[in-house]
Amino acid sequence: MDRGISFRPLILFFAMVTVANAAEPARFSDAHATLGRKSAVSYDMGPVVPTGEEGAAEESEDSAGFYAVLNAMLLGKNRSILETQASVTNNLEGETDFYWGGFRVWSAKPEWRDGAFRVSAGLPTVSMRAPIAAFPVGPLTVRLDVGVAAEAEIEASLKPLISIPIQFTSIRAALTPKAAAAGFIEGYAKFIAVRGGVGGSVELIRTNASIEGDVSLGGMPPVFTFDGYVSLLAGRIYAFVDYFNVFRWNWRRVLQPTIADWKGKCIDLSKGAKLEGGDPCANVP
Amino acid sequence: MRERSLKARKYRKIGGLLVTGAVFAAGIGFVTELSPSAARVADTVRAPAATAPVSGVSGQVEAANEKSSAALSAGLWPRAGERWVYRFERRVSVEYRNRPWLSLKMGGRATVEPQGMHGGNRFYLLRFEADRLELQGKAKNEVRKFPALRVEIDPAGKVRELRLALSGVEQGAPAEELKDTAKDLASQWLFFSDETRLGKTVPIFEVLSEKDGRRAIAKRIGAYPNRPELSRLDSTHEWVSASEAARGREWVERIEGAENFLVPSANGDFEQKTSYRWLWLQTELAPRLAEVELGEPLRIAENSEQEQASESAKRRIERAEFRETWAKLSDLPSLKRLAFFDRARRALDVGQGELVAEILAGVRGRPSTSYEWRTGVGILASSASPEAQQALLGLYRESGRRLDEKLSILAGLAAGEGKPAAEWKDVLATELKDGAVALETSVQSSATGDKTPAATAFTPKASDPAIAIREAALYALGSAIRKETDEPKRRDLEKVLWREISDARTVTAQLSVLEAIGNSASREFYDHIRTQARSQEPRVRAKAVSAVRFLASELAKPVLDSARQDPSPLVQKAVEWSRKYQDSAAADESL
Repeated sequence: MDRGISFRPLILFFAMVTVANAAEPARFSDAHATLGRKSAVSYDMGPVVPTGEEGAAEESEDSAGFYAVLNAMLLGKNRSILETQASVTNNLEGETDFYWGGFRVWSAKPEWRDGAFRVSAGLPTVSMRAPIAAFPVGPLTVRLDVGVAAEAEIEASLKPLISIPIQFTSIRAALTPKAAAAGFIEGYAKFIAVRGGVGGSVELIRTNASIEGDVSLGGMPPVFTFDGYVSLLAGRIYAFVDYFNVFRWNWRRVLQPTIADWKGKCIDLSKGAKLEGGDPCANVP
Repeated sequence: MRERSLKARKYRKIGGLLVTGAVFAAGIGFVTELSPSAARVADTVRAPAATAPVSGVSGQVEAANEKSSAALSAGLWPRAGERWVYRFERRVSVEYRNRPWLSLKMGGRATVEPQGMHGGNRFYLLRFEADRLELQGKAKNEVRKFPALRVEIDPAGKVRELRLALSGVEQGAPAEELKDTAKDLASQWLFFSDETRLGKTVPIFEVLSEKDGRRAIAKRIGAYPNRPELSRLDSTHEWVSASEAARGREWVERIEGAENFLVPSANGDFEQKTSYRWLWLQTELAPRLAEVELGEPLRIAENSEQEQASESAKRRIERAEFRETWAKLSDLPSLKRLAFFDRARRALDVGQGELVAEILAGVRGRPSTSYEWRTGVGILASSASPEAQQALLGLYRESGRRLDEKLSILAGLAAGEGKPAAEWKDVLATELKDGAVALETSVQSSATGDKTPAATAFTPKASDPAIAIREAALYALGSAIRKETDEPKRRDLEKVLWREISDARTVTAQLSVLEAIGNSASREFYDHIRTQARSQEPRVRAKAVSAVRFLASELAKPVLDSARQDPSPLVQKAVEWSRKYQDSAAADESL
């Protein structure tokens, strides 16, 4: 899961390689330093392969499928947003796991429909506030209220391609987590005749990426491809300091630095071939 | 005529000399009337804000806090038909990185007069007018009127309410800056209040002297609890009254103070020095009560509470705007939708309860995968508002609620930041019980029926909704324990989870309760986690290791350290996973 890489050219290269070889999980990430701390996002997708581990209990089971993991860091505060897995056990039961904001929320058994297990889950939008941090803006120290809000819906299909013995069974799976996370920053301080603040929003991630392929229950290497897009870190954070101008009876702005202004980056996982309209990044608003 | 004018000027000069002497002599003496020009002379005797106030008359010091005199809690106020007239001066200077950065001065006239009574409460009007402004050493003579403030004093002598009086204000609603200045000046007058512009505090009062009809009271402020960023706070103030026994009159003659502090910053220290002074000029006749149009109630303090209140006003979402945004929610770009979510959650948090009905109307009838449902349930589940939490419970209990909708609400309960309504305990306990029955039936049928599907006709049976709900309820129960701050209520919730732990006989059941324990972040189940971390079953060991992710590091560390030796790749993965959360918590604490 940690085999990913962090910078744009490498990400693009890696994305191309993963699409071409379809053998390794992918990690898309980006990071910037702002307000003296790191803001970053990472998004992992890959296969769940059986561990082959023997359990003591009769009901011991292994599973095969796909996972997706989304983590975000805003001003040095790391938050797990989404961890999801859709897989089929070696008892041929479909299972899905959702961790939302670090909490296990449910593990619904997928519905069996048209020859495959299917899941369509919309997770309620979640917010994660981070402890208040202090940040100096010019002469003032502003207390920052930092929070992350995220939404996600997940679709998965898991079709067992059953063979005898069971070790030759593989799962034809597809997992599409459509997720978005944004960070919001607010801070304000006022000392009679001087005031200052920090504000802004950062779109940490917006993705409509899917992973699709075959994962074996018997130790054969998985074969899979990616599709869709991942858009990372775009937004603006600004600050201001005013002093009170008694002549004009208003606040005079003495400092208004734009602390961060990121255009973001979009990574096309489909290589423009699969989605109608070509490059999905071109259609990302 | 000319002779009278010269005479008046002569008297004014004498008065000026008297007040100058009075200030130099630290408030000794009694001055009947002062002219503005004389007061200006008096103003200049005080050094800029850097110094502490001029000390009052030395004498026997008595803890005024112990005095129950109404005068000490309310100050003095003019009698009916009187208007007290003062000359005020306000100074603010700021140093940044040990260099002068800002210097402001303002001088003018303030008046205090009665404005009637209602029941046992008395009303007074404070009016202010600046006529001398100074910025960075440059002076400007310009008259500027501020909105008047009406002060309501209860029978105990406490300030009950402060309201803006709109009459006499130039065109339209007064700007924030005018209101702020009026509040700033009013806070100086309200010497005995426990609230200043910097926040709520517990002032220490001392009677410096009480002699010959004069009282001098000192006030010292040691700290502002809501302003932890302030250091080296030096806040001393003085209030002096005078009286004329023959006419039974007592009035406030002088109020002054200095408040200096430092805010350390990585960019360089910010040091603010402020001072103020009110000097009584004269008592005028005010035979008629002023009629004023009243505006909004005000708070003096600029502490975080007040900032929050002022921010909350900005955060309000009007119904029309809410409905308009809601109608196009699914078409909005995700950033805008999330910004709306965040704004609505904050609006609920600061008491905009009417949004709850809007949200409920907006989610009913929508599929659980729709943006409307997910955003609405998310807002309710994430809000600290008890009204929102009750609404979430009500939504869950509504008849005809489908499985996917219930799972979504339980997911909101598990992941949302809001503290669940107390009634959830019984609801979750019932769901767990119903699910247990279904689970038992399912296990029995598995034991007797065909467990391995035929390769050619693989059709798994549909999963029991009660079992799915049971799992989700278990995870929500764990989160509810984590969010419950009331000790007895948390213990009740923990008891429900203990029942599930003792009933968990299969590996699957043990895994589920460990997930709930993980969500709970409660040390109550620590011994159980340690036991399960030694299980024969690798999946149980891995889940036990995962369950320490939100625990305090001194509890999590021994579990993670011993799991490092575990040969199971599943357990190693869980160690890595839990450590990720532990590292995040450590980073949060270090901020």
